[in-house]
Amino acid sequence: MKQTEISYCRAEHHTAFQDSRSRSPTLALGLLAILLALAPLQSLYAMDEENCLMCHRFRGLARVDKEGDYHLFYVDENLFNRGPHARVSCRGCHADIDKIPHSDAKPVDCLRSCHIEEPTREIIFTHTGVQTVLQDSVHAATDPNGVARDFAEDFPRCKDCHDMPLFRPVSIFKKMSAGVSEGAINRCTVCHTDENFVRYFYSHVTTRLHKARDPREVVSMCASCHADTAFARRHGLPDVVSSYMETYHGKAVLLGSTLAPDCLDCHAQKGSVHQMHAKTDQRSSVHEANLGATCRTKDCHASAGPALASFDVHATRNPRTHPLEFAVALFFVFATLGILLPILTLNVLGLARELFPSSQAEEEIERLTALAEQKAARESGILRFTTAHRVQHVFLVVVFVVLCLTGFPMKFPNAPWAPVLYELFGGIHGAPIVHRVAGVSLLTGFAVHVLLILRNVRRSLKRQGRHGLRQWVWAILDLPMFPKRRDLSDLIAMAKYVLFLSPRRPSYDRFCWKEKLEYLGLFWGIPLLGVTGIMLWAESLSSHLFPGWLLNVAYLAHTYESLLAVAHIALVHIPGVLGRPGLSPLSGMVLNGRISPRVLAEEHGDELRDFDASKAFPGLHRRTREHGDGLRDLNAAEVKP
Amino acid sequence: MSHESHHSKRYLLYLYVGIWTVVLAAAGAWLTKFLAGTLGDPLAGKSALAADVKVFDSVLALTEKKVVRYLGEWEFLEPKLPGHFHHIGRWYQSDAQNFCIECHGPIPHSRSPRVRAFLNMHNLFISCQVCHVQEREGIAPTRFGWVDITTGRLGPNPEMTTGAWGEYGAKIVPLTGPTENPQPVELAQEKAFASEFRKHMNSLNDSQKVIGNKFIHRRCIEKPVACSECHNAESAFLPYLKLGYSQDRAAFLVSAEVVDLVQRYETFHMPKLLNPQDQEEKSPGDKKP
Repeated sequence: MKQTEISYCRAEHHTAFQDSRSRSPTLALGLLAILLALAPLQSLYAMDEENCLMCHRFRGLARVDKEGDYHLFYVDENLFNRGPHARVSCRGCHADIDKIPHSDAKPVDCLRSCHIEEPTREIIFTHTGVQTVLQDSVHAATDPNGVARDFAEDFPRCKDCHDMPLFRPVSIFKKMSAGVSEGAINRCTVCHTDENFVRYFYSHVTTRLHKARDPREVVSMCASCHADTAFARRHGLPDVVSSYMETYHGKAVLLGSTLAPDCLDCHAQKGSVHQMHAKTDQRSSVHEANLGATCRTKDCHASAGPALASFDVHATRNPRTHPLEFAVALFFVFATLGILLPILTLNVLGLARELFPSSQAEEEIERLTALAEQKAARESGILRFTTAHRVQHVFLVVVFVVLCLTGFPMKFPNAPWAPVLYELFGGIHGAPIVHRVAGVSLLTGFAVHVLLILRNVRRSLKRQGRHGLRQWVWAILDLPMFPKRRDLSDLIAMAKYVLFLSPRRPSYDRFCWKEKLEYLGLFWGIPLLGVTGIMLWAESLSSHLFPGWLLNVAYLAHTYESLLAVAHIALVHIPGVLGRPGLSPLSGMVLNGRISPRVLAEEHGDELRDFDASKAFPGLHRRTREHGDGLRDLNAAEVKP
Repeated sequence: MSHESHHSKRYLLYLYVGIWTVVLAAAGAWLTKFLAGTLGDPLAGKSALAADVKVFDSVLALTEKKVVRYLGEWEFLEPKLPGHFHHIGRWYQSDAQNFCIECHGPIPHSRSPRVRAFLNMHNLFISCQVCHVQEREGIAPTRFGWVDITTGRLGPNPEMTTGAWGEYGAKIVPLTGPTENPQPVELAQEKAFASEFRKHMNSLNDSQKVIGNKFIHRRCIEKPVACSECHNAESAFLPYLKLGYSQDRAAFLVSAEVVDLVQRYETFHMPKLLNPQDQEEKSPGDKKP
């Protein structure tokens, strides 16, 4: 929802002022009752009987004291009227201010009885009930015996957690949405003729029908203490805010979900939100014995198994407290950097080597280019990727991009671009669905691809009359995308060349080691992301099949592997394909399947090995001769990431 | 020509390769740092702020921190004042033209306990020069106008019946010059001097600082305009109607209600800018009832 600047209705203010202006100082008190009785209620709710707003409506009414403390005496009437305190007069809270000029005011005592009558019991309203509950909670500054706890000054007072509450009414008339339901108001005012009161009452009650404060505000409130490092150390507490923000719960809250649980949903589940106990206290909703029930409440993971309780919401990657999570994270960090950095280094060195090619390499490329140009002229272009290849590639690109766009805002929810991107896909309630649909599509596409490979292998074996598991294994190992010993020697030769240790630039066959590595990466990444994604998606079902801690592992695997995949595509694949001079900004090969003679010479020169310019036989069909027609079909299943 | 073309192609190649190299190296470095940062104790990565830094932050950061209030049907962003209960919505628009604010800030009054907040409130729409400056001591200005607080230009009377109270995007200033072409009272020399003074503050010796301070305030009067000089029905210092106030508002500002209020507060010990020794505060008991 768009953030809006508050609009101020000066007309309201002005009318209120005119009412007050007519009172003379001597007759003010005497006329007050008559004015209130006769004049229409111009200001929506405010009970400014003392006309405090005559001065306090100016935003500049402020001072800085000798201690450097800033005191602002401004009261925003518009905002004041939008909360449950709207019907409380100024002196209802600031009771000690009883004369003009004011004496030094004391801090407001939130426990005092104000003039509002509590309607159900017809007694004067007070917050002392909250204090009673709070005193028996983990946030009480004294223990049950009345002895001050260590660092008692750290324990919260009312204003540490609360500023003036504002109504968050819900529309429950026909549809559930935020805001006042005009339809409901209209029905109420048929009998209850004071619309101001109806609106106040409606807002007050419906605010309580859902979270009175947005989860982001709740988390921010708790974080004001619990994210304070010094505070956490003083009280021996872990960094619960960071760990919460790492969870789907925290990230969904940051991205605007009002359904995702905030701190209070788990830690103060029953009764007053002030009724919060330490997790070692058996009364606590997050006590080991109660955790399962807390997770499995009707509004949360209702169908989950008891095992969900072992999912650690506040898991970190601290080796002392969470060795499993640390080990999983460490594995992925090493895997990511171990794969990416060497390739990245080779690519960067390769780029530099482009500036200073060896004369041998230049001559070889020139020779191969000339050959490739003849081939291209003879065959009207050199086809590298068939239509089936290109369709699969486009499908993979589209699904991958959608997964990134809907997944990475969740990984970096604090980034300014995250909510913007998320909104494009329907926000927190739409983007996760798009993400899951794309994930299932990717898994389906991957399964189809694997089935095509197996079908082609089977056909090939059948045609050749080969049978048995061993033949299957050999056939699979013989697939063109499967790494061969030559790939290792190509890699070493390339490393020598870019390090200026050899003048020979390796010439690759149809698929080089980099392409095979990327292709095999899909066989690792897609199943891993798919399985972990489904586990997290169907967390309740997962909890019946696996222990809860496995969801912690799945979560880590999903988030790290997705980063590895994106980093590989962004840093290796795209620069490797498009970053080379002569190819940017976009190679037409992914669209028309045809490779340029120059690129063929540079990257896949070995494909020209058998091309004889004096003969009409196209060298591109060499593999057909070597492997038979069955493997020509197999190429339809080859996917370049 | 061909030689030049070859060279330009070569330079382009260098540029191309250089850009890619920098991008890839930076991305690799960021990724390594990011991934390494995901391991270990999150608390260990956060160093507790030094006490003096915390104090600095808590005292001065109040105007910078903002918080979003999410109310379902609407949201708004407001400054976060630590420990402040009431919502304030937003800050007022700062005065970009008045050079006094560069040193004294937008909340300059702090010495007279009873009236300092009131005086600061008047800062919203009255410039310092109205009360504190006279072209010559004892000759008070009689003509006033409104100056836009963003452009510094003299403008028409602002719209005062809508918008927030006291926030008109303009401030009242004293006028000088011919009647047909009045101009705001300018303290051009003082303004230019103050700008230089602030730049060289750290290199000035104590005597120079005192002298400079005196020069900047040389046209400030010892006894500023008092509240009752404006809020009285007989001869109000400010011509409210000419300044665009409505009849009702102008009448209210000099009404018995306001005048009574002013009288209650007016045990004035207005700051004497050049005589701080005379500015001792008196306890509330020493003041008039």
